[in-house]
Amino acid sequence: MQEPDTRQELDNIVRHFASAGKTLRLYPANSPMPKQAVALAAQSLDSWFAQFPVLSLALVREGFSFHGEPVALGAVGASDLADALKSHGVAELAIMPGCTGDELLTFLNYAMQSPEEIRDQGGLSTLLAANGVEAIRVTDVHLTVIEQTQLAPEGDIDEFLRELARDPDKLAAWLAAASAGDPATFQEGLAELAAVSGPEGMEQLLKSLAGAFNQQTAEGKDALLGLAFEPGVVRDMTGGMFGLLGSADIASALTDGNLGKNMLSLSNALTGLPLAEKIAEVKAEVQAMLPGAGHTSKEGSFLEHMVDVRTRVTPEPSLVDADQVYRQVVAATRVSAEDVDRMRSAVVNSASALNAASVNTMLTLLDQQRDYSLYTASLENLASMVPRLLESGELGLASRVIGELAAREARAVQPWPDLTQKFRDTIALAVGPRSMAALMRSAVADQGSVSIARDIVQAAGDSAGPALIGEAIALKAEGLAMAEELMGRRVVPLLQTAAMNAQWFQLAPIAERLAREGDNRSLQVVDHLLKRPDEQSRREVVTGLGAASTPAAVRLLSVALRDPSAEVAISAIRALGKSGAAGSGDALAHRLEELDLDGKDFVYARELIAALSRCHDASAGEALHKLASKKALIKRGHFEEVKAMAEQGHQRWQGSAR
Amino acid sequence: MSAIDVVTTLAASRKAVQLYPQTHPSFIEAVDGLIAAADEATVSGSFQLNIHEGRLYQESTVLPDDVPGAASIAEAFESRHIESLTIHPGFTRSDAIGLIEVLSLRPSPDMDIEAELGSRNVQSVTVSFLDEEDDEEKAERERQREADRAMYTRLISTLRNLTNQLSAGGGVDLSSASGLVGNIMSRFLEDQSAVLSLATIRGASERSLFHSLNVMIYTIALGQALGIPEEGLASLGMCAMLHDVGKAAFDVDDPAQAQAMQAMHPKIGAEIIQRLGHEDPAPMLVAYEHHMYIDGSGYPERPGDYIAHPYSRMVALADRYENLTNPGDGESPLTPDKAIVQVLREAGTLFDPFFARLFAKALGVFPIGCMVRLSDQSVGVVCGQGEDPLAPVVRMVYDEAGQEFEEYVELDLTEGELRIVEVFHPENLNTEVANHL
Repeated sequence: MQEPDTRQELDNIVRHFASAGKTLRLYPANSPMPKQAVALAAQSLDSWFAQFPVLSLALVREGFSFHGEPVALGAVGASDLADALKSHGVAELAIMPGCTGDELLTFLNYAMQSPEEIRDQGGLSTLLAANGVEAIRVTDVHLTVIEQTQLAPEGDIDEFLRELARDPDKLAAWLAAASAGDPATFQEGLAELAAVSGPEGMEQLLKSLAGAFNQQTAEGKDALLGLAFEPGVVRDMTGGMFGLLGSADIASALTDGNLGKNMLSLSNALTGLPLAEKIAEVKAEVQAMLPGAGHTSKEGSFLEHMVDVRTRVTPEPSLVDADQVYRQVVAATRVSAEDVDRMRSAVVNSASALNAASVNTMLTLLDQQRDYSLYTASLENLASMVPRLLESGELGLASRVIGELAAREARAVQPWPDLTQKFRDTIALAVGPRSMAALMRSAVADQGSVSIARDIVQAAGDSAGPALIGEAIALKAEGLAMAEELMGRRVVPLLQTAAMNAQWFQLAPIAERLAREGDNRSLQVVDHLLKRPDEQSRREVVTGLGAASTPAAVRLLSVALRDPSAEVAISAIRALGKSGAAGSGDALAHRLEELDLDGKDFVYARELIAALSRCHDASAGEALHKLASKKALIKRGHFEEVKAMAEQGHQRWQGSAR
Repeated sequence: MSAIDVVTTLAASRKAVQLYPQTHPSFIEAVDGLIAAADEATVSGSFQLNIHEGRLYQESTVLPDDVPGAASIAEAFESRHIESLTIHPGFTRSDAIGLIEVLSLRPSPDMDIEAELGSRNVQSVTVSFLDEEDDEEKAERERQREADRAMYTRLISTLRNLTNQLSAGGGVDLSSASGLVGNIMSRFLEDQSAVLSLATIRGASERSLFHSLNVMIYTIALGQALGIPEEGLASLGMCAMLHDVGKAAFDVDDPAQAQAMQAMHPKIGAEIIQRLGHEDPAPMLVAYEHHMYIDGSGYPERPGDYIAHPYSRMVALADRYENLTNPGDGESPLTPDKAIVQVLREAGTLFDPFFARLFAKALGVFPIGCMVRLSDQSVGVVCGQGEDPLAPVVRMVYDEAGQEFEEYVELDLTEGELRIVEVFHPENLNTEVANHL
C-alpha cells in the first residue's frame, strides 16, 4: 500500500501527464499551450525524484498503476493517455531523473500519434531513442498482456482465444505465426480455437478464418491446407472456410503454393481437400490459371487424368494385369543360354563376315566415287585391309582385294592423270612387308592355302621376296620349306643374302638348305657363317650341316672339327657321326690321327670313337681297329681306357656294318 | 509416473506456445508444469525419453498410447529424427522455453536441432538422433553420379569436336573418343544401371550428339547381354557412337540438306570413316548399314541377298529404340516400355528377331527411365531391374500426395504390395527423368 503523500504525488504527476497529452491532441506541439502543460508535468517530477530513483508506471486495463495499484483513476485524460500508450504496445513506462520538458514533450507528442504511423517508423521505443529521449523508457506489450490477464477473472483466459476467433486481422496474425511452426502444434492450435469457439461461435470463426486465410502468404495457406487432408476438426473447419471463399481464391491458393508445384499434388489437393460441391468450379479455375503459372497443356491434361484416377471408386489394376503385352514381352525375352552362346560365337567369329562385307562395301563406295581424293582414300583403305586380312588368315579375301585392285587398275577410265601410279602404289602397299610376313605365317599355319598364297606372291612380284624370306627364316625349317613352295628356287639367292643377317638361332636350317644346294655361293655363305665369332652361331651351323648329309657339308664339318671351341668341335664330331654322307668316316679318322687321344685330347677321344662306331664308312672301321690294336711301350695317360673304348666301338661298328 | 508427466506437459507447452504469447498465464502455467515434471523426473539423475517405431519409451517402459500428447510428441521426435531426448537435473525455465520453441519449429531436413537448442542457451537438454543413411554412402553416391555425368559430358564434348572437325572437312583423331568409350564401357561393366541411367539425359539442343551417345549405351547393353568380350564391346561401342557420323556433312538448318541427310548419311558416314583410316573396319560398315532392315527395306540400296553385319543389326535396334523414346522435332515420344514393345513388334521384319528379344531382355520390360505411377499414387523412375522382370526397382520421386521426396528412396517392387499402374511421359509433370536418376 502506498503512503497517502506518495499516492497523491503520483496522481498529480499522472494528471499533469494526461493534461499535457490532452493539450497535444488539441494544439500543435510547438504552440504555447502544450509547452506550458509539459513544463508543469516536468516540474511535478522533481519532488518525486527527490525521494525515488525512478518512476515506473505500468499500463493496465484501467489506466496507470504503480506497484499493482491504480493511479489517478478517473483523472481527466489519464485513461486516454494510457489507451494511447497501450495502442503503441507500451506495457510499462519508466521515467528517470533528469527528464526534461523537451523529452517529455517529444514522448507525449509521439504517444498521441496514430499507432500505425509510429509502428511504420520503428515503434515508440525506437523513436524516443532516435530523438535523444534518454530519461523515458518504454517496455513492450507482453507485460501488458500478463498484467491484463492477471487482473482478469478466471473465464477470461478463453476470451483471449475467442477474441482471436472473432477478429480476422488478429487471426491472420496468429495464422501467419502459427503456420510457420510445427504443423502438429498448428493443428492443435486450430482445434483449440474451434473448441473455444464452440458450435455457436463456429460460424464467426469460419468467417474470420476465411478472411485470415486470404491474408496469408502462399506458405501460410499451404500450411493450413496441408492439415485439411486428414479427417478431423481442421478439415471440417477448412471445409467450412472453403464454403465462404470464392472458387478463384481457393484455386489461387492451390496453384500458387506448394500444392500447385506439380499435377500429382494438385490433383491430390483437388480430390483430397474438402471442396465439396465447389470442386468442379475450383478445378475449372485451376485449369484456367495453369498456363499463367507456367504449366503446359500436357500438364493440364495430366491433371484431368489424375483427378479422374484419384476419384475412381474401384482400385486400379496393375499395369501388367491390365495389358497382357507386358507378359508377352517377358515371354519374348526368354532366350536360352544355348541360343545366346550360339549367337555370341557367331558375332565374335564374324570377322570373316565383317571383312567380306567391308570389302564389298568399300568396293561399292570406291566405284561410286567421283571425287579423286575420296577415290584414292578408298583405294588406300582397301589396300590397308590386305595385311589385316592376311593376319587373320583370310588369304582368299586378301587375294580378292588385290585382284580387285589390279582389275580396276587395268580398266581404269577415270580422267585422273596419276591414277595408274596411284594404283601401283596402292597395290605395293597391299603386298608390302607386313602382308608378306602375314602371308607366310598364314600359309605355314594352313597348308591348304598354299595355292592362294602362291597366287598372292605371284601378284606381289619380286618385291615380296625379302619380306617372305625374312619371315620364313623366323619360322625356321617350316618357314623355309614354305618359302620354297611359294617361290621355288628363287628362295636360294634370297636365303644367301638373308643368311648374313640371320640370328644365331636361325642358322641351322639356313646352313642345311644352303649345304644341300651345294653351289659355291651357298657354300661360301655357310663357310662365312662358320667363321662367325660367336660359338652359338657356329654350333647352329654345324647342326644344320649335319642335317644336310651332303659331301659338301662333310667338307665344311671337317673344318669345324678343328674349331677352337670344344663344344663346336664336338658338335661337328657328332654331326659327322650321324651324317652318313660319304667321307664322314674319313674325316673323323683323319682327325683321330691328329689328336693326342690318351693325353690332352682325351675329351675328344670318347666322341670320336662313338662317332666312328656309328659311321658306315670302311675307313671308320679301320680307324677303330687300328686304335684298338695299338700297343705302347710305355703305358701312360688314358691309353688303356682309349684302347678299350676303341675295341668296343669297333665291335659296334662291325655289328652295324653287318 | 514422471515420464507421462514430462510428455503431457511437453505436449501442452507446445500447444500453448502456438496459441498464447509467452507472457500469457496459460503458457506460463504450461511451462511451470513442464519444469515441475522435469524436476521430478530428474530427482535421481538425468531423465531420458526414447522413441522406437513410433512408440515413446522411458528406459524399458513403453508409454501407453492414450497418454495425452504422447502421439504428438512421438510425431515431433520422428519428424526431427530424434531418437532420444535427455533432460538433466537443473532444468530451468530458460531450458524449458528453449526446448518448447525448438520442438515447435517447422521440421526441415536442414534443421540443426542441437544448434537451435544452443542458440537458445538450453543447457540441461541433450538429444540424440536416429541413424540416417550413412553420410559417406550418400556422398559416395553423389560423387559417383557426378563422375558419371562428367564422363557423359566429356563424351558429348569429344563427339562435338569430332563432328565439328568433320564438318569442316578436316581429319580427326579417334583415339580420345576411343578412350572415353573405353571408360564408359568399364563403368558399364561395373554398374550397368548407372550407365543406362545416363542414356536418359536429353540435350535441349544438339540432339544428334546425345542420340549417338545414348545409342552407344544401349548397344553396349545389348552386346553385354550377348556376352561379347570386352575388346569386342569397345569396338561395338565405337561403331554405335559413330553410326550417324555422316550427318556431320549436312547442314540441318537447310531443309533440302536435312531431307537429303536422312537417306544419304549412311553412305557419307562410311566414306568419312574410311577417310579417317580407322583400322577397325566395323565402324565404317555400321555407319553404312545401320538403316538396312532385314526385310530388305531401308537404305542404302543393296542386293537382295545382302546380310548386314551383326554389329550393324545391333546398332539398328538401339538406334530405333532411342528414336522412339526421344524422337525430337516435336514428335511425341513413346515411353520406354512402349518403345520396347514396338521394337519387338518390328522384330522379324525390320530387326533381327533374336537381337530384338535380347535387347528387350537387356533393357527390361520396364527399362530404366520409365516414369511409373504406383498403386498408391506415388511416382518414381525405374532405376534398375528386379528379380521379377515385371517388378523393377524404382527410385521414388513423388509420394502418394504428389510431394517430392527429400531423401533418396529406392523401392524394389518385387517386395511389398505396390505395383505399377501406369507408365507416363515425364512431360506430364514438366520434368526430366534424368534429373531423378
